[in-house]
Amino acid sequence: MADTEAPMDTDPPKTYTQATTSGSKSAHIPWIEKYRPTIFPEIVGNEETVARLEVFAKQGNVPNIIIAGPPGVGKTTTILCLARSLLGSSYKEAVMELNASNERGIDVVRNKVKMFAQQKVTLPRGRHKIIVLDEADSMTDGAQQALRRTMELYSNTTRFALACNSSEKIIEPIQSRCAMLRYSKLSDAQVLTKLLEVCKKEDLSYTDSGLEAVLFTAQGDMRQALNNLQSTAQGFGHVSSENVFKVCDEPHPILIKDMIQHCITPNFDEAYKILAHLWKLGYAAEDIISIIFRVTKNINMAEFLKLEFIKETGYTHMRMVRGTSSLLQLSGLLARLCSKSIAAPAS
Amino acid sequence: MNSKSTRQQKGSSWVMSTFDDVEVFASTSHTESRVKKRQRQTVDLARLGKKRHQQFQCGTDLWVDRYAPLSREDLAVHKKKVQEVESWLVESMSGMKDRKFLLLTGPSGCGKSATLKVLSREAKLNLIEWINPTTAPYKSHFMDQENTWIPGDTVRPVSQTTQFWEFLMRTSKYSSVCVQGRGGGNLVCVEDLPNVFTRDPSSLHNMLREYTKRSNSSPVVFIVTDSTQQSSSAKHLLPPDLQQELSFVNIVFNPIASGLMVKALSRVVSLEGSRTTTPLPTKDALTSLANTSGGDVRSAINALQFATKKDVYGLEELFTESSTSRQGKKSVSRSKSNSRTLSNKSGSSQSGVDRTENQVAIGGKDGSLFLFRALGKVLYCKRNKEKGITEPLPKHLHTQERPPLQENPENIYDKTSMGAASFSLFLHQNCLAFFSDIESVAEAVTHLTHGDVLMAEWLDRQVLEDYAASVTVRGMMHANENMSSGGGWRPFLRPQWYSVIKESQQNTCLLKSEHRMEPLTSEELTTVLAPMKAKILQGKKKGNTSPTFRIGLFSEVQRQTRCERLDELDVNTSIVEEEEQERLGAAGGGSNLHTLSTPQQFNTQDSLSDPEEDFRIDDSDEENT
Repeated sequence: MADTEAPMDTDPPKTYTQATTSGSKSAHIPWIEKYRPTIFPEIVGNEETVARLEVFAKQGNVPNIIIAGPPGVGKTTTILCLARSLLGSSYKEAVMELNASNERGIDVVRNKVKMFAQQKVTLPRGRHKIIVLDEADSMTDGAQQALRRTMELYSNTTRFALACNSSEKIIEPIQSRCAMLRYSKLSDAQVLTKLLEVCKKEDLSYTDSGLEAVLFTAQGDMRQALNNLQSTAQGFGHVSSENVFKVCDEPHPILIKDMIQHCITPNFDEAYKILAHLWKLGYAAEDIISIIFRVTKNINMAEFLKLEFIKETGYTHMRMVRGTSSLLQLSGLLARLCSKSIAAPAS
Repeated sequence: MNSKSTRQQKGSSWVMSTFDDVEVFASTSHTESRVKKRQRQTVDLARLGKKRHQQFQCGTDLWVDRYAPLSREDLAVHKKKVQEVESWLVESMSGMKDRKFLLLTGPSGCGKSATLKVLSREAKLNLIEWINPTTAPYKSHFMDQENTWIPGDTVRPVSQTTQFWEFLMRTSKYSSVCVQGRGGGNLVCVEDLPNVFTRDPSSLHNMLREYTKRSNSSPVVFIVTDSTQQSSSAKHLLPPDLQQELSFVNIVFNPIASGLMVKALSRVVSLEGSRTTTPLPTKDALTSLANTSGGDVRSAINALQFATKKDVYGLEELFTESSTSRQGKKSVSRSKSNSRTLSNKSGSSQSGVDRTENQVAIGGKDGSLFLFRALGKVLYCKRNKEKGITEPLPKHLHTQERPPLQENPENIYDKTSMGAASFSLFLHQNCLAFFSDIESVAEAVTHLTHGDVLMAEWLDRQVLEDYAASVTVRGMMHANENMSSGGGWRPFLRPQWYSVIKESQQNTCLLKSEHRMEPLTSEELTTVLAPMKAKILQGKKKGNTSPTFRIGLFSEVQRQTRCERLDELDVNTSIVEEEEQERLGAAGGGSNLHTLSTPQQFNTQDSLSDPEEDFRIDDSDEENT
C-alpha cells in the first residue's frame, strides 16, 4: 500500500552550508544548490509573503497555496523552506514532491497522490503532510480536474503547495481552493546583495562592472545570476564584465548600446560597422536582436523613438523566428531605425 | 474544579495531545482564563497557559471546512437560489415525475455543493457522493506473475464506468446501514465525474438513460463548475438535447454578491473571534476582500485565513489597493472612495508608491490585484510635467515630445503577471474613455494592432510576447497626451471579448446539437444554414425560440450589445448622482432583466446575461431587504 517510490530528491542542504569553508570538496556543487536558502530569513525578495509564510511555519495549519511568478525568484525554495520548517525530521515521510519531470497524468494524480494523501504519518498537531507540485502549470487539464476533489477530501491530513509560472494555466476550481501568492521579479539590488554575499563567501575577485554584467545577463533571475557568476568564477577566476560576457557568450551590451546610439544620432555607417563586427565574431542573429531589445528597453532615449525602435525590433525578430535570420535583416533593421529620426524630404 | 484544571494544564505541558478534538481545548480555555486570574503571581503557569493558548489557536483544519455553513442562514447563496434547489428536492422526494436529475452549474466557489449539503442535512436526506476510486496498479503486478496465476486468486480491476454504474445501482437499491434514524431517502451527488466520461460522454448518457428506466431510483444531482475548457464543461458532458430528453433541471448559480459575501465573511470572523484572542479584521477590510474575490467565497475565506495570520492591522491595506475597479460596476460608492485613496497614495511620495508596490497579492484571482493598478498606471499615464522635456527630438518630431513618464512601462506589465494577450484585451476594452481626441485614439489603436500582429502566431508567441506587450503599453501611454490633466475617475470593465467568446461557443454547441445529422462545419452552420433556416421560419411562426431561429436572426446579439453599453453609461452617470438613486435605479433596471431570465430550464442565454448584472441585482436586493 505504502508507495515507497515517491521521489524524495531533495537532499538535506544543511551539509552544504557547512561545507562552504572547505574549498576542494564543495567546488563541484552548483552554487545555486550550495547557496539555496534553507530558512525563511535567507530568502531574497517578496518579503511580505515570505514573512507571512514564516508565521504559518511556526504555527502550523498552512492552507493550500499556489505560488506564481517568473523563474528564479524563489518559488520552489520557499515551498521547500516551508516544508522543512513545518515538518523537520519527518520531512522524508511527510513530503511528496512531483515536478514536471515526474509523470503527472491523470493516473498519477488519481493513484499516487491519492495514496500518499491516504497514508498515515504521525505528525504533531497542526502539521500536515505536504504534496509539492512544482511547475503545476504544465499539468494537463484532466489531471488538474482530478486533483481538485482530492484536495478537499484529504484537507485534514494533507496540504498542497503548487508552484507555477503563470497562474492562468491553473484551472479555476484549483485556484479557488488555494491561497494564491504572487511573486514578482527580483530587483537588481536584491540580486546584487546575494551576489555580494556569495562573492564574499567564495572569496572571489570581482569588479563592479563585472557584477553589473552578471545582473544584466540574469534579468532578475537569481538562478541565472548565480550560475553565470559561478561559471565566470570557475572559468577565469576573476569576475569582470568581459569575462562574464565571454562565458555567457552574448554580444557585449556596450557595443550594442553604441550601435543604438548611432541609430539615434542617426549615423548608419557607424552603426553598421559595429553590427558587421559582431556578425564577424560569429554571433547568431537571434542573439544579437534579443540583446538589442534588452538594451533598447533600458537605454535613455526619447519616448517616441523608444516605442518605434521596439516596434521595429519586434517585427524584425518576428521575421527571424519565421526563418530569415540573415545579416540583411539586421542591417535592414538598422536602416529603419536610423530613418526614424530623419525628416521626410519636403515634397 | 480549579485544581483539576491546573493539573490538566501541567499534564499537558509535557504530553501533547494529538487528538483533533477541538471542543476539549475550547472548553479548557475558559477554565484556564479563570485560573490565570487567580494565580497571577505564579509566572510560570501563566506563561505555560500562553504557550498552550498559542497551540490551539491553530486548529488542524482549514477555515473553509471548519466554518462550513451549517444552516441555510449561513449560506452566502442568494435566498431565491436556495429556494429553487429546495423546491426541486421536495418535488423529487415526493416522487414527482421528471425530477430525477438536477444539474447545478456556476463558477467555482459560489456555494453549489454547500447549498446541496445544507439542504439535504436539513431535510434529513442521505447524501451519497461519488468519489473516484483509486485504481491500484494491478497491471504490472499481473504481468509479472503470469505463470503462477491461479484463477480466483486475484481480483480483476473493474473499469471505472462499471464501478460508477454499480455505485448508482447500489445507492438506489439500498439505504445506508450506518445512518440510523434518518427517514429520508438517498440523494446521489456526482461532482467528480469519472475521467472516462470527459472523453466519451455518450457512455454516460446511455447509463443515465438506463437509470431513468428503473423505478424507485434515487434522484441524482450533478455539480459541474463552469470552465473555459470545452471538454469539462456541462455542455459537453450533458448536452442540451440529453438534458431535455431526461428532463434535467438546470439551476445556474451566480458569483456571490459582495453584500452576501461580507456577511459570510463576518460570520467566519466572529466565529474565529470566539476562539482566539487575536485582533480581528475590520469590516472595511472584509468588504474590500469581498470585492477582490470576484464572487468566490471559498477563495475569499482562504485568503482571509492566510491574511489574518500575522498582523490584522495591515490587512486592510492589503486589499484596499486592489478594489479600485473590477467591482466598479457593482458598488460605485465604494470604489469611489477607494480610488480616492489610491490617487492619494500614488500622488504622495515616491517611497509610498514603492511600498505599495511591494505588497503581496493575496486572494485576488488571476491578478485582479495588480491588474487594476496596472491598468490605471497605463491609462491615466502620469508624467513628470515639471521636469519638462528631457530628451529632445529633431524639429519635425516636435509633436511627439513628451515629458518623462513616472512609471517604466515594462515594469508595469511585468507586475501584472498575466499574458500580453489578455493585458492588451483589458487595455483595449477600457482605453476609449481616456482619450479626448480622435487622433490619439487612432494612434493608440494602431499600436494595439501592432501588438496583435506580433502575437498572431502561436509558434513564436513565446519570443515575441514581450515585444507585443512593450509596444502596446508604450503606444497606449504615448498616445495619451493630455491625460494627466483631465483626471476624473472612470470605471474599468472586463473585456467583452470573454463573454462574446463564451456565447459563440455556446451557440455553436447548440446549433451542432440541433443539426447533428448534417455534415457541416460549425462555420457553415452558423453563417449559411442557420440564417437561411431562420429566414424561412420567420414568416411561419411567431415567437419561435429554437436556437436556429435565435442565432440565425442575430436578434439576441443586438440585445446583448445594447445591454452592455447601457450598463456602462449607467455607471458613468451614476457617479454624479446620489448613491441611493443609483441603487434604486439599478434595482429597477435589474429586475426587468431578472424576470426575463428564467433559470429554471436549460435556457442558455440566461447564463450569458452578464453575471455581473445579476451580481448587482442580488446586491441591491440584499440591501433593500
